[in-house]
Amino acid sequence: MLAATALLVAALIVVLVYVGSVVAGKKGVGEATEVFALSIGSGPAEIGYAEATEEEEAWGPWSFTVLKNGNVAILDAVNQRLLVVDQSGEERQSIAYEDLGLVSPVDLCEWWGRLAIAECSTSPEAVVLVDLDSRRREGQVELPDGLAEAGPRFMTASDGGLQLVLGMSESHRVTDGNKGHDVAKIKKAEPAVDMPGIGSVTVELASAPAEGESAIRLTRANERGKAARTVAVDDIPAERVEPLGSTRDGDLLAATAYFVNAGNGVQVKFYVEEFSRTDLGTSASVTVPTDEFYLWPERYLSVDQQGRIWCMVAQKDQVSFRILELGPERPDVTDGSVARGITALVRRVGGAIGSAVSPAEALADTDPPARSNPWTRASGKSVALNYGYLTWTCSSGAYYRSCNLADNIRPRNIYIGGVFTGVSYGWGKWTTPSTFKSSVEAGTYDAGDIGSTTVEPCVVGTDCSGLVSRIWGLSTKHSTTTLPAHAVLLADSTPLGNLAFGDVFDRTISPGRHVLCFNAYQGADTFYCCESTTRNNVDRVVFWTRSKAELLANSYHMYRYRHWTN
Amino acid sequence: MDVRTRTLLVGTLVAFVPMVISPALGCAGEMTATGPSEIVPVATASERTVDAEWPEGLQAVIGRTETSTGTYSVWRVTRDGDMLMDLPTNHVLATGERGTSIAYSDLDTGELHIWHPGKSSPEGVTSLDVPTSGEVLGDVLALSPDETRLALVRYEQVPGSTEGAEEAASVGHGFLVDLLTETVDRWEWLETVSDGVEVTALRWDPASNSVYVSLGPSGGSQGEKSYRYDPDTGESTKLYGVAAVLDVGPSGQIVGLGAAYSPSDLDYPTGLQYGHLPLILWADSQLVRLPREPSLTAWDSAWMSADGKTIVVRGSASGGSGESSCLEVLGLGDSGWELRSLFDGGGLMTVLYGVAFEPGTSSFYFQAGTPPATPGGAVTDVRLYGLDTITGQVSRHLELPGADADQYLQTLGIVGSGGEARR
Repeated sequence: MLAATALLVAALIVVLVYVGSVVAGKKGVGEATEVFALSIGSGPAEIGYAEATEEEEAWGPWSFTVLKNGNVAILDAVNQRLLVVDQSGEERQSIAYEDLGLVSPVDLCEWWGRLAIAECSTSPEAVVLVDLDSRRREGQVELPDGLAEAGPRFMTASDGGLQLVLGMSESHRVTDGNKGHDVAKIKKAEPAVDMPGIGSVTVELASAPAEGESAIRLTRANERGKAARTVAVDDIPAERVEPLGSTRDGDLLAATAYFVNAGNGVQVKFYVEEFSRTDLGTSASVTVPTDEFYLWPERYLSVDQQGRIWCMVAQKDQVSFRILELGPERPDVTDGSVARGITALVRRVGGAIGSAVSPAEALADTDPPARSNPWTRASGKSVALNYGYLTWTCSSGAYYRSCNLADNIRPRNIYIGGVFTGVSYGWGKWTTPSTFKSSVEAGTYDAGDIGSTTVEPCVVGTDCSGLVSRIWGLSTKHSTTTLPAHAVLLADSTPLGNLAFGDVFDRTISPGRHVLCFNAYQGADTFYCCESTTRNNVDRVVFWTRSKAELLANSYHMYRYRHWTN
Repeated sequence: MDVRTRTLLVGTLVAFVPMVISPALGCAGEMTATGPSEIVPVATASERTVDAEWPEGLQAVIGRTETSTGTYSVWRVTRDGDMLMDLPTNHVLATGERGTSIAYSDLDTGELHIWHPGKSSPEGVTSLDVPTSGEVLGDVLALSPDETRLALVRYEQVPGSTEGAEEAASVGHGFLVDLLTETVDRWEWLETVSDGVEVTALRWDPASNSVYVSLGPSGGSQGEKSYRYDPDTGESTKLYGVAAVLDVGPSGQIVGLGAAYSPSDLDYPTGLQYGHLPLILWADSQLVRLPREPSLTAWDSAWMSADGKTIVVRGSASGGSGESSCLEVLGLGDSGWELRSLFDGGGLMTVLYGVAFEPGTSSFYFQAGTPPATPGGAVTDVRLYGLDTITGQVSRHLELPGADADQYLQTLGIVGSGGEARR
């Protein structure tokens, strides 16, 4: 049984790392701060624990995750249930595995408001999606062919995808569970990881570093393949470093975990690097008695909405949930004392892990708009309505990124099988609504791209100036800075009542270049508008309300297209 | 209402001879003054009438006006008169809280100018060169409240990239300017966090010790992640869960927009199909979602009082007469933040801009005018108003420069009678 084979590690405890607001060098090695603890048992808000037998090691809760609402969801394996408690330890939900069709779930995380649970006893092995509100199983994500046998083991989620670590021990494969294919591998002998969602990151594990040399190097490359930042971690024996994970909003968090025999217990240490910081390098450690029972550290970690990293400490009489702040000290590792390293890789929110797949052919986006003659404001409004109210279904091919993963960032509001309104924001694009719909529903192109460094040939959608170019009936796509050449600048004092559909508010200076289209008067300072935008994370063409005062305060100016025929 | 007017005639044209600054050798980005050069900015003091309803607690009001001829000026109004400075056509402007220095950059020349309204020529305007290698596409400026420091992020066109169907590729460089020594230093840290995203907001804390940076994708985003940076130590802290910093409180609290990692994280106004990034308060790494008046349908700016106990939010609210701009007041009560009031002008007034709290008081100043006589018309009689955030009482104050129908003005800041103020 997988559980039995996996529960090899006895008497360890986890400590973890808080990276969020800690400034390295300011704080000492932190103590784990207990938030709450649950008693061992099978009653409400209790967690099961099975004593060791001749056949099996002791075992208990299988994994946990801190939900976005602050509650904590736990795989209470012994009691065969999913337990949800709040941060005072009060039970909020208890759902039997059987009611969810689960047999032996091993890990869980929250993903787009649902609970994703890695199930390794089904055939093929899969990730089960559960809606906690309705207490129902919503469906499952199938693993790609050839990978199901390895089974999902460790998992983390983001709006960019569901990330799985497959397999055990020396070789760990990392894949995007939604993408449906094996996209990266990590082996001790082949320690290279590509994380295009945050640029390209490689992890180099020096084979025999001399004293003082870096044992691990993390290199982040920008979208052009140029190394943008390299972080070196010194003083760590090479054979004991492993990448651990990342924070949830984009910055790589590479950690090294040590299990050190401290005589009376086991010490666990983490070493953390974060790319966004200038003062890299922090660590934390704690020593726990060896009679505290097992630890499966990869699943005993969770990051909450505040960026704090939680750990679950399972003992014989209770299971406690703790937060640890990170201290500045570096690990003190003695040769021969390492019991076990952690190997897991989790990833950032947004973007997708994976090596680039063959880019789709570029969409012929040079077709001029179906321009009637004359081109009136009504013509433009018809175009805008088509963009804003287009309904489309997101196929898997449209959801997955299929080229330039470094800058091809999926719109934040779409998911596979979802029906959406409005053409997706696609930087540098001005795809017509009909082409957008047919392309994304057929899965031949990626729906939208909010990355604004390069224009991707595999993407369909429209950016803000692309939408206005279409509304104005231009034969080529213009940018925020070239649109005014076709327009008259209106004085800031122009009342909203003097504007008409097709007039635009354009900000031509960087950063924040943007243009939006006036739709209709609403109030003395507010008006209905149409724009393709990333504002409020909508990442699509939308009709809504804006404030003239706010726009003018942010260096927008009003323009009127010169060539309306009415 | 007892309204007195008086006519002011203050001075004549004053020409300022700026110090032209060029890069110093051997120190990256550091600048030194090399001597006077051309005469560029010209400040004027003009005759105008000032409404005598001058708020007791204010020393000066600062703002910007688009003139009737399509040019721009920045002004500082005091009880004694008003001074105006013409602005370049393409400019970015920043004010502090003392009213003695106003920073603006000329995007066409790349020069950074500091206008000192209280000084006469040649100290009236200081000009600094900012190291720039390509065409300037835009700046983001933030002047510290004590007006001794300036954070500047300059976006330049990437050499070789061309403007066409897409925007020209741009790259942002950060600079920290010491206005006392007139040195410009590269802010290299900024570039380590802004790869692939744009700076959407820069704010200083009230003590002028830390600068807050928000970053997000292009396309009108308000931001999706934020940092605090301490220029003295070079230390930075990521503010988890903060998408955009709107204002910084006295203890480093942040009023901002919360990061949304899924649609369920958004705040959905009643009756709308789309959600907004929620208004949040961040303090000591803890996030609290702020309460919201149900009729509030949008929010874009916020201010925290000097005692950290009151927040004013500018936004839009739906009511019987449709959508209107408004000010929402939140107060810190015994059980946390609670909604205190919502002011939408009641049909008698159109709220345009929030300005600042009067230092040390519960009075919040805002710019508003008389609603158009007919729908679609212009807002007239644009003035500075005061809102007592405790009682909800609104008081009418001075008429602002350039408040004619064919001009457009924005109040940028106020200066308290003690010399300190809030933007």
